[in-house]
Amino acid sequence: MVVVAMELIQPHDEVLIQLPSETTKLVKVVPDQIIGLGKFGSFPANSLIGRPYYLTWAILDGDNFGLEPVSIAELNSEKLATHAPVDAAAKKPKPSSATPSDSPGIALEDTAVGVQVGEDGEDEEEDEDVALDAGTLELELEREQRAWEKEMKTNKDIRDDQTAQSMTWQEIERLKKSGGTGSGKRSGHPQEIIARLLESHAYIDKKTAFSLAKYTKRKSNKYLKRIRVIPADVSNLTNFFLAEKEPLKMLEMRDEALGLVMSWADVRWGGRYLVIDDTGGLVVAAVAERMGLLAGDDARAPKKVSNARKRKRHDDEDDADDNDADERKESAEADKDEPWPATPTKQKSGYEQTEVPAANTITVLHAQDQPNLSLLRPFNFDATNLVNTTTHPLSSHLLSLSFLQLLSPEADTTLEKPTPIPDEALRAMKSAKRSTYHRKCRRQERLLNMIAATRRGGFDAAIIATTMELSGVINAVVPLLRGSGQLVLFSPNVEPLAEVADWCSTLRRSEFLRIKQESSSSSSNGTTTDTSTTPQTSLDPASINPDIDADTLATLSTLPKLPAHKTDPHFPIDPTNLLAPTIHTSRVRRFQALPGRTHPLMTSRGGSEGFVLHATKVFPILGGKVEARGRFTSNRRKGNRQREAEQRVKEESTVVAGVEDAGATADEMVVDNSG
Amino acid sequence: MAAAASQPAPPHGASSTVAYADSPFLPGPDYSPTIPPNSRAIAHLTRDVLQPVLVQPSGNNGSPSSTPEPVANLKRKLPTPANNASLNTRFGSFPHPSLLVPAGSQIRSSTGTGFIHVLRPTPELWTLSLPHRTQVVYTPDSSYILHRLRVRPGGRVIEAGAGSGSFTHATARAVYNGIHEKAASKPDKANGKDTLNGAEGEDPANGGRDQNAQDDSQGRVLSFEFHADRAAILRHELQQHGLQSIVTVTSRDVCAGGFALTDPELDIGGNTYATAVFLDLPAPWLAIPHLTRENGSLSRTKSVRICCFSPCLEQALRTIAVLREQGWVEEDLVEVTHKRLEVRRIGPDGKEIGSKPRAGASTADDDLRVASVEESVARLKRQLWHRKEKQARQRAKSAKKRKLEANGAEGEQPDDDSDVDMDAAADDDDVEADVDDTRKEENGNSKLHLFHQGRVVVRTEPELKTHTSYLVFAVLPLPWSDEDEANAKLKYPIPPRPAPQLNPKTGRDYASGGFAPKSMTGKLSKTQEKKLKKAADKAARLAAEASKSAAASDSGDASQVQGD
Repeated sequence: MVVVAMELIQPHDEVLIQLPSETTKLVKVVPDQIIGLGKFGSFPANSLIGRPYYLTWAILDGDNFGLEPVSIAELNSEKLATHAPVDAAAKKPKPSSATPSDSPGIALEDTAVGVQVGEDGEDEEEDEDVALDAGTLELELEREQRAWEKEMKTNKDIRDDQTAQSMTWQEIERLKKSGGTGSGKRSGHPQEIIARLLESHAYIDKKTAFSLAKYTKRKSNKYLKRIRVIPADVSNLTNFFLAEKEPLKMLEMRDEALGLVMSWADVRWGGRYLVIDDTGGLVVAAVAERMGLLAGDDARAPKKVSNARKRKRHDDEDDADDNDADERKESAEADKDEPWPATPTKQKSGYEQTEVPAANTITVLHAQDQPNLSLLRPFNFDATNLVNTTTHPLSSHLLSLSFLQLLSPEADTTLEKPTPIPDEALRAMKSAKRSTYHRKCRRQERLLNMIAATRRGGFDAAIIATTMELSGVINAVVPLLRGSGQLVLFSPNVEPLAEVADWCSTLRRSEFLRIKQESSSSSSNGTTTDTSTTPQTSLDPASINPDIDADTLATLSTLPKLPAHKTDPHFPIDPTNLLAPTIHTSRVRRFQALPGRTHPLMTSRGGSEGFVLHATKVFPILGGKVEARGRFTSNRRKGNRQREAEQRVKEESTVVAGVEDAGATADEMVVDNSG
Repeated sequence: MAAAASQPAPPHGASSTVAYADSPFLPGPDYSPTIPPNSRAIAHLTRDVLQPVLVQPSGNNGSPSSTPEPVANLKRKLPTPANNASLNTRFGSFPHPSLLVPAGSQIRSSTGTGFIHVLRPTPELWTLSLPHRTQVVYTPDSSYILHRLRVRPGGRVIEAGAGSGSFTHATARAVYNGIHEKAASKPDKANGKDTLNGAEGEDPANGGRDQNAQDDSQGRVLSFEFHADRAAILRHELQQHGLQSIVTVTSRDVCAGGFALTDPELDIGGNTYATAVFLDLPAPWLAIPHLTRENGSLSRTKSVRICCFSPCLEQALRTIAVLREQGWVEEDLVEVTHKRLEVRRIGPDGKEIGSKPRAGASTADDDLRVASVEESVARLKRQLWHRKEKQARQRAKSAKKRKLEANGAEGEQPDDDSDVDMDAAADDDDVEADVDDTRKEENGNSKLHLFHQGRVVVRTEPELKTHTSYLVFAVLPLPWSDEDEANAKLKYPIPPRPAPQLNPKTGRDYASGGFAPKSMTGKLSKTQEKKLKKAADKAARLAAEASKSAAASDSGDASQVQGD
C-alpha cells in the first residue's frame, strides 16, 4: 500500500503520546534513541517510525523491548460490551424503525413538510411505534422497572476500608515479575493482574455495574501500559499546551476559539493575512495549516544538513546562473504536492527569495525585534534558524515585520544596505565572505519588498491575539484591510473587546460623523478631509536613519501613506471603518458516552473563556448628509413572502426600538447629523 | 468557470495546471475589489438582517439571471422584472448598477433616505443570509467541526445531508487549493499515468482507480442530498457562486445507496476516497457501514475523520455504538455552546445610555429609580421637607380661611386634605425637574458626551441558542497488519534493551526512566540515607518489641543494626 508520508510517523517528527494516566506528552522521535515515559517504562523510537498514527500500543517490559500493537477490535470490544445489553433492552422499538428502507422515508416526510431537519427524526419514529401499541407500552415499562429493581445494586453493603482488596502489593509485584521473566506473551500478564485484583476484591459482586466499570478502568489504566500516538497538529497541540504546558503563554486559547477565529477571518488557500500573535505562534500555525503551508514533504522535519553541504550551497549561490541540479530538483519536488500559486520559480527557495509571494501569505506584525514563534517548532519550522528550513513552505510565505518597519521604515536599521563592494574586489574575496555579502544584499531587498507589499494593503483579514492596547493595533491594521475584509480579535478576557465594541457604538459614531462634518463645512473647501490632509511624502524627516541609501529612501517615499487617525480620548479608533463588531464566546462540553452512563464530564478546565470579536472593514459615504430611517410600516404592508414578513415583524420590534433607543445593536442605522 | 488569474503551470507538474477559482467566495489576489456583475453580494442591513443579492449588470434589466432557477417554487420569491432591477429593502430601494461598487461600500438608497453596506460574500455571511430550506449548521458548530475534522486545502470531504448548503460553502472554502485542470493527462491517460507512476514510485498493483485518485490533488467536497429539489437548488447556487468545480452535489439517499461515485463522467478520480466525513442525517448509523476503505469511499492512504451531527442524545449514542463496531477510535461526544455578547452602556440609574422611553410605556417606574443611597436620602429629604413646608403653608392658609369662614357658612373641610396631597405630588415633580436640569448643566453639553457616560456592560444576546446538536467525532486509523509491523521492524530495527544506566544520586535509570534496585547504586543522597536509617530504626524497634522476653543486651544489638 502506498501511504502518504504525512500519515506515518517519520524520523525527527514531534508526536504526542497519550499515556495511560490520561495525560499527553510531546516527544521527538529520533531514530535509534529511547523514549522514556517515566513509570510507564520506555521503548525505542524505532518502534514508532514508519507506523501510522492513532494506533494503540502496549509497552513491552522485561526482556522484550519495544511496542506491540493492540488491535482496535480488542480496544472497542470493552466499550461495545456496555452497548449490548442496552441494545437488547431497546430491541422492542428497534426492528420496525431501523430497517434501512423505512427510516429514510420517514425522515424525508419529516423534512419535506419543513420541520427542522433531524430535530426529531428519531423521536418521531419512536412516537409512531408508541402510538401503534400504546397498550403494550405500559407493560413494557413495568417489566423494565422490575428488571431494573432486581438487578439494581447499591453501595449499601460496601464498607470503605483497606481490607476490601485482599491482594497485597507484594503479590502484585510477584505477578509483575513473573510476567517479566518471559511468560507474559501478548501483554497477558497485566490483564492477569487485573483479573486477580477483581477476583480478590471482597465486594466485587456487590458493586453496581457503573462502579465496577470505574474500578476496572482505574486498575487497567494502572497496569495496562497502553499508549496511543497522535500527530502534533494544531488542534492536538492546542489541547496539549492548554492542559499540560503553560496555557498563559498561548493566551489560554481553546480549540473552539481557534476554530471560530479561523472561520470568521475567512482563512483559506490563496489569501493574504495579517497576524499579530502573542500566543507564541499558535495562531500563525493555525492559519498556516488552513492555507496548506504545513502540509507536503517540505514541511517535514529537515534532514540534517551537514556543514559541508551548507558550505557548498553558499558557494553555489554566488554564481549568477545557479543551475545546481540538486537544488532545482528540490524546488521541483517542493511544488509537486502543493503547487503554490505565486511562488516565483527562482533558484532561491524560501526566505532566500527577494520577491515576496503575491498570495497565500501570512504577514506577522511584531512588537519586538523578532517575532516569538516558538510554537512553530513542532511543525519543523524554526523562525530563528532559517538555514535548515529554507525549503519549508513557511519560510517563503511567512513574512514578518516589526511595527517600526511597517509604520516608519525610514528609521529601521535593517534597511541599511551593506557598503557596496566593486565586482573585482568581490571576485577576489573568499567564497564564504562573498556569499555573506550577497546574503546581506538579498535580505535588505527582501525586507524592502515586504514593506512595500504590506503597505500596499489589500489584506483579506487581520487576526489579532495580543495583550497590547488594542486601539493602536486597530489603527495600524485596519487601513491595510481590503473592503469587506475581516478584523478578528481574540482575547482571553472580555473587557478589552467590550471596549473596542464600545468605541464603535452608534452614539459615538454619529457624534464622530457630526464633528467631522462640522469641521469640514467650516473649512472653506472641505472636500478632502477624509484621509491624509496633505499628500506629502510619507517619510518623517526627523526619524530618517542617515545610513539608509538614497535609492531605498526613494522607494520608501513612494509607499502609500497610511491614513492616520488622530487619536482622541473620545475616539480612540475611527468608528466609521468597522461594521457591526460582534463578540462571540464558544465552549465545548465533552460527554462520557456510555449507554446508561452518559453525562457531561464532571470537571473541565476553568480559567479564561476566550472571546472573539469580529468586524468588517467598510468604506463610509464621505461627505453629504446620510440619514438612515427605514420606512418600516409602509414596507411591511406590502406583504412580501411570508417568511420575510414574519421575520420583519420580529425584526421591526427590535430595530425600531434600536433606532429610538439608539442601542448598540442597531448600530449602523443612525447617522443623523442634523442634531 | 475558472481561470480568472491562471498561473503559469509549475514546470514539473505535467498533469495539471492550477488556477484561482472565479468565485466571490474565494477571491485570489487579482480578484476585482469592486463587486463584479452577475456575482453574489451580501447586503448588510443590520447585524442580524443580511440579504443576499445576485447583482445584475447595468444593461440587463429584464432577464432574471444567467441560468434559470432549477425548481420553480420552493417557498421562494419568484424574480420579477421589478425586483430584479433593484434590491428592495426596508431601508429603501437600491438599483443594481448602484451595487457595482468596491466591496464594503456604504450605499445610499435611490431616494437618499437610507443606506446599506454591500459586502463580499463569505461562508459565514452566507450562513446568516441564505434562504433556509432546512435547519442550518451555524458558524459556531461548523467552525469547530471543520477544525476538528482537520479539513485542509486539498482534502476530500463527504457531506451527507447538504440541506441548505451552509456547511457546504464553509467546507468548500476549507478544501479549496485552486482549480486543478488536468490538461495534459486527458488526451492520453495511459501516458500520464505512467509518468506519474515513475515520479511518485507508486505500487502498480494498486489499480487504475487509485492512481486517478492520487492524480486528483484538488480539494473537493462530495455532497449528498436525498431531496432531489434541494439538491438541484444547491447545485444551482453553487454554480452562481463559482464553486461548481469544487463541490459535487449528488442526489442520493446514502443510507440505502452508499457513497460510491464511480461514474467516470464526474472526473473526480473514480470514487470519493474521502479523508473527512460529515453526516447530518437523521440516522447516521445506517450510513456509517457504507464508509469503508475497501469500497473506495474512504481514502486508502490517510487516516479518516468523521463527525455526526445529531440533535438527540439517543441518536448520538447509537452512532457511537456503530462507530465502535466498525473500528473507529478516539470517539468523542461533545456539544458546542456558543453565546453572542452585547455591549451596552448603563447609566447610574440602571437605564441604558441614550435610550429614550418608549412611546406608550409608562415612565413612572423609571422615575422612581435612584442611583445610590446618598441620592435616595437627599431626594427623600428634599421631597418630604418640601411637602411638609407646603402642607404647613396650606394648613396656615386653610386655618386662615376657616377663621374667615367661621363667621359665615361651614362644611367643605373633608376635601381639604386630599387637595393638599395632590398638590404635593405635582409639586415633587417640579422639584425633580429642577434637579435634573441642574444635573444636565453640570455635565455641560449633555448630548456630546452621552456615549462615554455610565459604564460598559456585557451581556448575552436576548435570544440564545442553548442547544444545536450533539457532535460525535471519531478517527479511523490506517489499517496495520502483523505483516506491516514485521516489515516496519525490518526497516527500522529495534535495538536490544540497553543495560540500565543509573543516575548515582537518584537511583533513576536513564534509559527507562524507572528506578533501579537500591543495591546497585553507588552513592546515596542525604535524603535517601535518612530514609534508609529510618527504616532500619523501625525494623529495629519492631524486632525489639517482638523479642520482649529478651535481655537488655538485645537493645544493644538493635543499636548496632542502626549503626550499620
